[in-house]
Amino acid sequence: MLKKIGIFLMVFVCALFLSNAWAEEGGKDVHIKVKTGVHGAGVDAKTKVKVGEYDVLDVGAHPDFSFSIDGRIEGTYFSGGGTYYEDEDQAYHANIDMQRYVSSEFSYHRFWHWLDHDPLTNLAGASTNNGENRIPPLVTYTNYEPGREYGIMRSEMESKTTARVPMELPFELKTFFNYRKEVRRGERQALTMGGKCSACHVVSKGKRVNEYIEDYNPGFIAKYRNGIGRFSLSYEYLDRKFGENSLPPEISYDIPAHPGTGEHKFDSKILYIGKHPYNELPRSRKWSHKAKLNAYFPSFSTGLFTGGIFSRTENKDEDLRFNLKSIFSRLSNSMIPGLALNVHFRWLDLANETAHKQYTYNNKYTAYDHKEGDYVTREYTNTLDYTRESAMSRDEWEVGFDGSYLLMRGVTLRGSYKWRQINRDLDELYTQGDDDTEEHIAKVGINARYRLPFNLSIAGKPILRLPVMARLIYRFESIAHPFANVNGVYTGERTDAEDVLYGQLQDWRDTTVTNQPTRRDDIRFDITLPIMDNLSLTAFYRWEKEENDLANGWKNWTHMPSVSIWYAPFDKLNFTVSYLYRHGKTSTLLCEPIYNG
Amino acid sequence: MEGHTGIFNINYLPTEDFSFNVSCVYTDSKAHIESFNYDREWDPEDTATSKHAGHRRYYDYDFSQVPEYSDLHIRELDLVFNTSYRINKNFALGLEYNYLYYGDEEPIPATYDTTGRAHIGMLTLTYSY
Amino acid sequence: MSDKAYLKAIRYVVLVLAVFGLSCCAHKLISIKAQIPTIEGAEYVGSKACSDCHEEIYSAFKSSIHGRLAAFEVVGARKGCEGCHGPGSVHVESTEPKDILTFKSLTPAEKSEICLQCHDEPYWRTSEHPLNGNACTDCHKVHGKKEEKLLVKAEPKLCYDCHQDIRMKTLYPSHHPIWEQERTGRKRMTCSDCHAVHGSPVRMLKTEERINDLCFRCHAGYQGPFIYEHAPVVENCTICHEPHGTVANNLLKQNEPFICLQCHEFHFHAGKTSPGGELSNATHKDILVENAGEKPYTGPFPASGFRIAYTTKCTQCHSQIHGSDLPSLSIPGEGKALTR
Repeated sequence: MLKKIGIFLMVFVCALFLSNAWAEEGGKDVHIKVKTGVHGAGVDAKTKVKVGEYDVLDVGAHPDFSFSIDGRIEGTYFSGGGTYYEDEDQAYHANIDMQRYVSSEFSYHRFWHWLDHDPLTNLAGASTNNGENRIPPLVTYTNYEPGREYGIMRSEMESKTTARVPMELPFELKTFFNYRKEVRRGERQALTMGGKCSACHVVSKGKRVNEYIEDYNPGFIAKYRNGIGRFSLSYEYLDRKFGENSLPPEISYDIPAHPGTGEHKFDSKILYIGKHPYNELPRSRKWSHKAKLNAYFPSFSTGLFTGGIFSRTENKDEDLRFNLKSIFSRLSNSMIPGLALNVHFRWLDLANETAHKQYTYNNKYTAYDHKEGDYVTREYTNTLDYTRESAMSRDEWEVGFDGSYLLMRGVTLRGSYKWRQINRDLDELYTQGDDDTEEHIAKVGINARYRLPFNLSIAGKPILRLPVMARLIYRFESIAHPFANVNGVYTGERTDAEDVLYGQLQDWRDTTVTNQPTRRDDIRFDITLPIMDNLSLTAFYRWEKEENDLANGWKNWTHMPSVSIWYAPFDKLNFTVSYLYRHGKTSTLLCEPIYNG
Repeated sequence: MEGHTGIFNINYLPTEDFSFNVSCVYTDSKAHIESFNYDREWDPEDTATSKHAGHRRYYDYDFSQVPEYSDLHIRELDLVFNTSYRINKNFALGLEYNYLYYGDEEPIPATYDTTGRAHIGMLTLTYSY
Repeated sequence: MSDKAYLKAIRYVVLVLAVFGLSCCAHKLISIKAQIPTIEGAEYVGSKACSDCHEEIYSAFKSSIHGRLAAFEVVGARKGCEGCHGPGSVHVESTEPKDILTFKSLTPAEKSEICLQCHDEPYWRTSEHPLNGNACTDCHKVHGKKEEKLLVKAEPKLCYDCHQDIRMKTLYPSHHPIWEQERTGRKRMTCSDCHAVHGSPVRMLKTEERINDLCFRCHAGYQGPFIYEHAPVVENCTICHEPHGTVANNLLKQNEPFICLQCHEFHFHAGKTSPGGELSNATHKDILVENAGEKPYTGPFPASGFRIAYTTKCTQCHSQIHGSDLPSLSIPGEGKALTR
């Protein structure tokens, strides 16, 4: 700690000398600000996970340091700054502009994020029979690190460099290269279901986290203008890698035994036992190509924009991939005085290949079998063939138009309509009514920035001299066949369920449930009243209602009013007071299966 | 769910060299399950769950207690007091105090109480050129 | 009123707007084009002429990004003061504000058109902000003291002037660290990390693909594709999450188990009775301990233990809720339970 304070003081003194030295040289214009200090934290909490979720909160006194510098040396402009608060709480940035030939921005920051530690103490249950001889099943847990505080340090480094062709050409050309690296390092809680049958057994261990996301993003932008219009063409490529440098945690999975008799009769139903890793994130990689063409014709007040993107994302550990293709286009026109009209179109295709996987586990154990009254050794192989067709694969089409009309100076009317259709490959599993999802979204609104055409005053003081700003928007959505869990629950009665396993019961589910609406209404109103030059009032209100007419009768509504007052009784003093309220309710029917198992 | 948020902020510059700022944010938020209502009565003699030869299983589908261990009521208070004094053209002294309170009024499970308070104080010296 | 009737009504309103607008060209209404006004008879005189009267603004402007533009940039567009304020010869003679383009006197669309002469923002004209009457200068300020990116106020305070409901959400118990950046002044996260404020094909978000692709920029671990999927995850992250802030943990719209029960049924185990206490039969305890791979909790057990275990938090067992490549234990269940 003393060493850190010493270093900061030395840097502070150096900055003082440097700035004086620079002041004596011509052709330079530099401003420096250096801040050094000490901070202390005290915490009274069993866990810091909520009171300071994004703060380090290291108890005790610590030095901190920040600086900023900006200036010019000959034709090169630069600026930079940094803050060192704690080891896990730092931020730096630097920008340089070399006579507009090359400009570069660099930033790095890191902060700490405390994470939850679920104690799992609610996972303790033992079944019973009339309070007599208690017979399992059981629910139990194992928490390897009770009370341990988990957290990760998140850091991001970003660099954006743009190079411009330094020649006076009839067009402008610049190339850019952006690089980003995000790192998460620390430890988090990792849970897994460690066993079934002898008990529902959840196990918790800490998982070391060392994840990185790395982006390479080069591209170019070319612009051209002439008497007819302004044109630009851009292209960019993205290569994104995700990886995890830490090994996943491992536990020993339970041997499945009947909880009452100890009989080992579930070997063929439980895929694996013994030591295996869990909570593993696969390495992935994403590539994308994006091109855009934009044209604007000032004489016609018309703009045309079109673009496309193709991306591929791969799971490197399982050799799975999905492709995304999208084309989007917009046409805008404001030839008619005061009226702006826009039309847009978008098409998206998402294709996620079907996954086939065979899992094979060689299991071996020696355990005491209470039914046989002796130790038994079993060695066997379980396999599971699984085919996954993806809920992701689909085609989407979207067309919409917007209009805004300047009704009078400061008052605009707007309206818009959008139609969207989603054709999922698995409509029969994921949409209410086994059909394409179709959305109609309509919006109408009025915006006003209105100055009163007459003067008002109270006690000789003028009020509402400045424009009143108000906005009212109503949005309506009608969604046919929204996303849903088809065959999500079973509603009914069956008497042919003797010796039926729970997995077979799941196949009997026949009723569709969802939390997606078929209708949504949303009203929003806000107004800012500059009552006097030193007093203004802002009020906001939003009401949202969503509902679905499905079996589970899902509904949701929310009210959100708020009010804010700003007051400056005199030049040197100002207050802001705000109150925001939100009240919402969601209601749904739930389903509880009754099954003797 | 229901949330109340109050924000208060004051900026005061009594002199050109001295500035003073206080800001306070208080949030009281609740999220709770109001009720569980079944669309039909459950019969304890239902064949699916009653006692029968060889097996003894008992079920009780009264979920009225579920709100007790899923409801949330959280209070938060963030208070920031900040003052700065310019000693001369180049040097300024700053002082900041931050009080954080997180109140978990209905911890889930009862053993995982995330209530806490934190005090952070900062003293800084700034040099500008 | 039924949905169809509502749609019909809205369509009529929008049609009326369009017809009204078209008919306006035949009438003498106050109509201001979304084009840049011109000053009759004015010619370009160069930025130096402006400095004679506006010395302070000019000297600050020279070192700003707008003042530093090189000849090989924005080819064909006028640079300097007159690039935005129009030709200044008449104003230099008369010194009247009406003889130059002053932003105070322009409509939002006109102000934006001036900026769009050089700034290529293909989505701006068709995006929410201008359609709601916002101009570039509502958020950006070329002259005078300003924040990063020439903003009039730092984020997120600037955004909160209009987006009060979002402000409220960012202060709820579970949130992205936007409030922490505001409170501490140290870099965490701001609105423009996710939002494309100048417009986007996807709901003012910084992506041209799907909402999920924006989330995966930082949460790439969940993009998969996985062997075992959870359908609402691949559909849209916002089915379960509200990224601005929520009362429930993990940015969930509702607390568990309620959020899950909107689309899934309870486990039947939730109804098993349990009066609580120790396991009375030592053999049952032995069976539990002997077969467990990791040392388990063996009691005492609380009353209603099964109910509490199965109706508190689904993700205690179903921890890989975003998807997994590893199978769960049950072979009849095809390993789909997302527990490993």
